[in-house]
Amino acid sequence: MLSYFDPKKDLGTPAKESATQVSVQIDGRDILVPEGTSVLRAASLVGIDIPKLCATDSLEAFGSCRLCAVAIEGRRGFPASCTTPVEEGMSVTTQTPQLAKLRRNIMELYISDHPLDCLTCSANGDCELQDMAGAVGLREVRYGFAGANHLEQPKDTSNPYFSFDASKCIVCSRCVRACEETQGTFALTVEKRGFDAKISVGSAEDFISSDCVSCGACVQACPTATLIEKRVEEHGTPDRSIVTTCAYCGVGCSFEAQMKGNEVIRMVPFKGGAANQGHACVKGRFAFGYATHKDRIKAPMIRDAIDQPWRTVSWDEAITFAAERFKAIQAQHGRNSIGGITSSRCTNEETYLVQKLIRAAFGNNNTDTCARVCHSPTGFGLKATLGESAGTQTFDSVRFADAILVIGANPTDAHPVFGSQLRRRLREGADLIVADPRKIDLLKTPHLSSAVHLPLRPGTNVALINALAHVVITEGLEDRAFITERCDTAAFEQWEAFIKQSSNSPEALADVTGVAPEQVREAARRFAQAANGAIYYGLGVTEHSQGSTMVMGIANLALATGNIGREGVGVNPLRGQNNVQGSCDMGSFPHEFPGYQHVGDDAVRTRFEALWGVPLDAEPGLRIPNMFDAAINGEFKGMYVQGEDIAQSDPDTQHVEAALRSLDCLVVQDIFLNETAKFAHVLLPGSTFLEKDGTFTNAERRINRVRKVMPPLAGKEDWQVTMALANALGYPMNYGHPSEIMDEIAQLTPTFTGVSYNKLEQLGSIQWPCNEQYPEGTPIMHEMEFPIGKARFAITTFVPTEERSTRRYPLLLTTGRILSQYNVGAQTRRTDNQIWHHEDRLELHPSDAQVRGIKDGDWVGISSRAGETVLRALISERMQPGVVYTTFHHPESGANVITTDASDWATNCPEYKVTAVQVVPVSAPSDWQASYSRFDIAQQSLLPEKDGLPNV
Amino acid sequence: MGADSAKKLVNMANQIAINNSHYSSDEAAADVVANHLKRFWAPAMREAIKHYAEQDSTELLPITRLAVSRLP
Repeated sequence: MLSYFDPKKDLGTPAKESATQVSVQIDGRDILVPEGTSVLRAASLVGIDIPKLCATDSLEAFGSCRLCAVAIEGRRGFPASCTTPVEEGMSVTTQTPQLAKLRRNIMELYISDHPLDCLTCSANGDCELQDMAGAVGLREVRYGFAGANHLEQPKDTSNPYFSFDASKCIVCSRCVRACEETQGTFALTVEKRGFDAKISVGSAEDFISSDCVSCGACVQACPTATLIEKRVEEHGTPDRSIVTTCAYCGVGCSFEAQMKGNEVIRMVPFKGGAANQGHACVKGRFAFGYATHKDRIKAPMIRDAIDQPWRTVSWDEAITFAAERFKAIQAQHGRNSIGGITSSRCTNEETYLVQKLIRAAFGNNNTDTCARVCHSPTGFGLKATLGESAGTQTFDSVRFADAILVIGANPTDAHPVFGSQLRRRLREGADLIVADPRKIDLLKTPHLSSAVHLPLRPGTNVALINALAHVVITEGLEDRAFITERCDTAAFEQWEAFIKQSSNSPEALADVTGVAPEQVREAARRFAQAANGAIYYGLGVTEHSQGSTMVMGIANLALATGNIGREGVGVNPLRGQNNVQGSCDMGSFPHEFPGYQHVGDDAVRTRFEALWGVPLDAEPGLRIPNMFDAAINGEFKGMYVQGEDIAQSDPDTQHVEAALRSLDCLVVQDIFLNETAKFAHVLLPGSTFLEKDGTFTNAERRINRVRKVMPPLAGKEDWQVTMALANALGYPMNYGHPSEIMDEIAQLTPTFTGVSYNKLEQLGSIQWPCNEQYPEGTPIMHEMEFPIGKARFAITTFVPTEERSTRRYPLLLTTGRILSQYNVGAQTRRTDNQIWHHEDRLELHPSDAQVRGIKDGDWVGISSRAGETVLRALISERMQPGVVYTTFHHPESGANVITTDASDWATNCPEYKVTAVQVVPVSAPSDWQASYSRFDIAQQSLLPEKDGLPNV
Repeated sequence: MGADSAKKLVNMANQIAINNSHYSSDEAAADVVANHLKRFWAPAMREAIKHYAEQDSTELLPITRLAVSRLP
């Protein structure tokens, strides 16, 4: 792929931004570079590679190895070129006999204390120390190897993914600096000085017991084999690489899949990736082993009823079986008796095809997506206020933010690469305001300059955002010029009158939110008075009965303070899964075609009908919860689910299970026998992101290419399966490649008209809208105008949730996820990430534990009006009294057995974040868990035998 | 439609009404609610709540009742 720089070349030190250009001469070559650029980088830019070891362009210059010494006219000695900034008129010589001798001497000292096992070393051929020995012409080590050395230092293999061999360490500090500058964890340090200096994991014994979060930045930064992936140790160095996009969270990191044949050896974050800029987390970098896990479904299977054994059949037989069943159901129960669910884990092209199949081949609009249960309120709220259902910024924009308001999000766990970017900006001095019931790790950012934590009660988001806006307006902190120029006057005046009401003051709402009024005022002032104020939010905003209202409240605050339409500001929804934005863009919702175009709009529908060649339904279809209800009522009988696990991820599990049991035909397309597939009649093998071509769209609207690096294990990419099903249903689909699907998307979607695979190859990635007006995409939205002309303030009256703590259920449960696991855990549970989180636990405050006689690690029963489950307790000061928390990564935990059917008023997004519960010590699993265990064993036993062994 | 389903639809519609009750009059709010139901609810759900309103509208809030009466 082309890019604005060669991402494979290491220029030695980071780029500098300056309006002033400086002219220098290096080895007789003239170059103009921004002021502040190092001599090392400037030389590299003109093609002169000065030897280096401690320098790399992802880290600030350190100047410890001195290998990059140069001669500068008019200066004494040989300064390190990495720490020497260019100056106007400077003349630099990079190679002289004296410099050559100096560099050889330095390398000689390094090598005198380094194992001479290059031929058997795991980094052989991929080692900067080896390269530099060659570059400086090292031919002998005069000191011998018998003196004091570090060659017997022990090797730390405690981390499942990489090892640390101290005997090979040259103490260049790149790992320490990567941990600090790139990741922001500060887990590593250099212990002692001089000859005794060594890399240490603080006071911990080894990596696994340290603060290390296994992001792998240190491994990537290491110039030797000291820190190296275990897979490289086991399999050797890769021989080819392909740039693709991670399939975990909504950050959408670009990776080089480094391969040997069809086997992924390692995933290395791609420096040219605009979203991640060469960084990654433990999931994206290391947790890809699920792709070849033994549990992968590798052949289509069918059965008549869910208590029958699965029969392995050909693709043709499975597809025909599914199509005939769907047709029979529609013949008996009507056109609207079937529907389907698209996946936020699949590509844009696959998602587009599934909704097209439903609308064109099923003949109804019963299509929905898992964004229903996460960010559907974002779509509703931002469309109503700003005119477009998407975040407004790039991730990179945070570099210019002065006050950062994080609401209901936990970026260091759920969006870790962006979390690192955010922490970098906080270390530079930006103000942090966190609105969250829990004391999230962001508040513990090392070297954080200033932070306000607003520990609100679950369910009171709207009250808090109103209180913040009340302070802004009543204290005259609003941006009148922006409001006058960019916002609808009548809507603003109505909102202004509303928000000024004393009932919205921090003092009036303190009893509701539980947040001290002076804290709210302080936070509002800091945000409003900052030159650039940026808002980041997650599912702690959307998964409420007023999720949509809260999104509108966030937009109101951004508009009132003029924080829209430039770098460093904006409304930034942090999307949970890799393609939540894309699945919404692609028309997964029952009321919208791709591009958020309503099905009831005759002109829009006519265009789709013309291209798709069939009449289309003008009425909205059923949403996921509506499908469940209709199934239980006997009105909805068939469902096609691609790449989602609604039986585990959706709320009120027992209700979902009852709905799935009611179906006459459930077709699941997935890479594993997931919880939903246990209720299925047809199981179509899915393909992982490594096995197909396509695109994902991340949280900043960035369309990134997904590139096939290995053939699909079951022979078909997911889009080919959907195509086959459409054809079997009698609706022809004939695409030769996902690029053809994207071409069709571009024809029908006004914000995508300029998108094509060719342009993606040229630009690397594209942020939509990309059309005639914005031919290369739109990094920052709403710079000059809103899609609706003027932005519209919305009235956001606080309506308390009906889900309240009572005498019977006195605690409030919130759910979320953690760093090492992802969503329902289907992928990460099948990797070594299990070492960090092998079970879901119930986190509760010491005072709540004490009054119940609960100790850390005890089994506790959690009951709500929806159901009961049992987890082990984790007692934590991070919680506030009265609030408990758990994750939902393990199906046997039954976290969603407890969550209820309460949902957002506008979108039906479930209220996962507020469930009234009681917690008591228990000694046995819940009835649901016992029943789940029996069902799981039974379903596993119904799978065909593998290698002659039963699947129990 | 079962009693549980009817109850759910009534709750959902009332929730929409409560969250739009800030309009200047019940008439204006009912227009917004009716429009929301038309844009986002499947026809079967609209028919179901209309049927409920015809049989027994006691659980419907005034704005909801007005909105449902405006559904085509």
